[in-house]
Amino acid sequence: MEHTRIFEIICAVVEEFNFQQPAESKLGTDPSTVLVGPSGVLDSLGLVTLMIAFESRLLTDLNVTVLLLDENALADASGPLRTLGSLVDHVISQL
Amino acid sequence: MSEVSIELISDFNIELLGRYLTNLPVQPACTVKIVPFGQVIRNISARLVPSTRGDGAVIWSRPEGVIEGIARAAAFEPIDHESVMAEVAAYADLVEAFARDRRFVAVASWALAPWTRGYGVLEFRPGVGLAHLLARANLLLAERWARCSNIYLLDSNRWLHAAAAHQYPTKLWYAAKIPYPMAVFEDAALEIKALLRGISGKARKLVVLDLDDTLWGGTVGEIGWSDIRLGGHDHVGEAFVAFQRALKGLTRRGIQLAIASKNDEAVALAALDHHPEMQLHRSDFAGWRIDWNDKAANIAMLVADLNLGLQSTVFIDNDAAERARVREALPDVLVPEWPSDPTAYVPFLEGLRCFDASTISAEDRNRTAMYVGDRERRASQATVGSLDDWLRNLGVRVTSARLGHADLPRAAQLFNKTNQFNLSTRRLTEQELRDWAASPDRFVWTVRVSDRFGDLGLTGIVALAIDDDATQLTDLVMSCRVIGRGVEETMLHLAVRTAIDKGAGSVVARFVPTERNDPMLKFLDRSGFRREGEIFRWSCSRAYPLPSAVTLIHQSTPIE
Repeated sequence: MEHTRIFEIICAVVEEFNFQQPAESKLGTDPSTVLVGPSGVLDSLGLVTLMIAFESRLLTDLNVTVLLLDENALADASGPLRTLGSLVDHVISQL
Repeated sequence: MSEVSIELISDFNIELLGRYLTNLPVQPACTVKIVPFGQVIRNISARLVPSTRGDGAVIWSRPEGVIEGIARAAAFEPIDHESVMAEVAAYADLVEAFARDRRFVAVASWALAPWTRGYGVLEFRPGVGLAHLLARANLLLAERWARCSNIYLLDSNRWLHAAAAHQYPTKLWYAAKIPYPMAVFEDAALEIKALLRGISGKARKLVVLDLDDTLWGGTVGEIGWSDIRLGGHDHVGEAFVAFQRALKGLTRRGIQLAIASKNDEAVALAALDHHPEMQLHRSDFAGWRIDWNDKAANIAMLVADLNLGLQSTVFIDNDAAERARVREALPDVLVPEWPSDPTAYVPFLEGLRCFDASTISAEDRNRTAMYVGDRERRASQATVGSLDDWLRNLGVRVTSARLGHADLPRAAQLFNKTNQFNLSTRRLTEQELRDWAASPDRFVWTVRVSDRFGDLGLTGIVALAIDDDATQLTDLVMSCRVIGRGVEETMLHLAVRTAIDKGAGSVVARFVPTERNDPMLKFLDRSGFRREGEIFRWSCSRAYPLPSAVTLIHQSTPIE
């Protein structure tokens, strides 16, 4: 599955998600944007909501099922969900 | 607009709504307090007395989370639907008590998640289907709360359709007790903010429209009115007809239409007058500026002619350059980005959410006719010599009466929407106004105006608090459409007459300046009241003269 297409979908979800974020906590849309870890700006509810939104959009747009809501991954600052870029790689690895 | 504080009460995790209300860059700004989710009825009962006056609240629950009978029905237990209605009625009473000292309470109507099918094809079978049960429950709530001007039952079905059925991740419920995806909460927040703008009198009241490729397809000056694309079994023509009908619908809600078009006026008006599929005609427009001048300047003049504010105005034009020009020159005018495809015009118009008023009155529905009358009045003024002659010719008739129940919605609307001719700019809900007026030493007079061109309806309020010696004129509120016809002087006459009747020694008015009520100050300065800073005083040793061109009919009881 094309890396670019998945990244576009992820970024579209981020842009939609950002409407609920205060100005200082809006996520960027470059691959280095941190999702999980000390420099991440999301709280636990934000992470859960975002991961489920990613899963849902990937299913509706690409008809692919991926599992991102993983307790261990969400707590691992060096794991597959640490940045937008690593998230995309993680999605591709599940396809 | 000032910030609004809102309590959120729910049987599910409503944090996302709180975040959207707080962070969406849409007026008004909100601060949110989320009541720990769970038992809605217990939470409402524990908060019958608000911690501060003027709190607002949003109650959004799943029906099965509040009404036990609905939970059992949703589990397909056989249940008597009448007993469920009794539970719903008790819930309605509780919310009514909760709303008593709150500025507003918004309640989301009950709905099932889009992916639930209940009894399938029997969903609207009375006594069986969940859809039928919920429809009855929602109607019961709507009817019970119709008497409560500060409770708003909002249609949550629209929000639920902001996300398609297949986008409802049940995982979010299991993980975080959030039953709906983000898009639903965003839509809900936008709706609630539209409600708050309506309550504060900030709903938009005027749509200024371009003509070519906005109201019809084609450039009328190039092709002639008979060849514009409008109706005619052509999908684009049909779309323009539908758009015009939707705009006409707005006028029946009290929203005015006007035209700002770069065209030859006679050519453009000929299209309005003669095209057989034209849905909008001259009589549907409060005014127009059709010439080759700058649209921004024309819009500013139109708005001034109509005595409205730029903040009340929306400008719709298919041309991106014109939109950019008006946006830059008139930042208070709402200029939505407009689709290039006319078949999308109607849903775009519906989606603007800027016209939501908190009430609708007979005056609102007749307002276009009133503006047309205004146009004719201005035209008649041009044919008459002096202002006094014109006023006598106009035959202004003012009817004053004590504020009654029937006038309460319109009176509250005047309090909350009038900016320019407003002495103290008090903003009051219907309940607050009713409570204030109920005191025996207070008088609220309604003022209705008519003339030979028609009835302008309830357009003024005089509110007085009788003190031992001085009567306080607490509010003098008047629609700008009747400025300059002797009505404002008649209202002062009424205030002084009341004070004299009550034995007061003087009438005292404190002018509270705002950004927009300079017209009131100018009037007070020439009124003959003695000015001491921002206090204006009239001695009750003499009556305030009634203008000779005005006929006053005064009754001491309400008009019912």
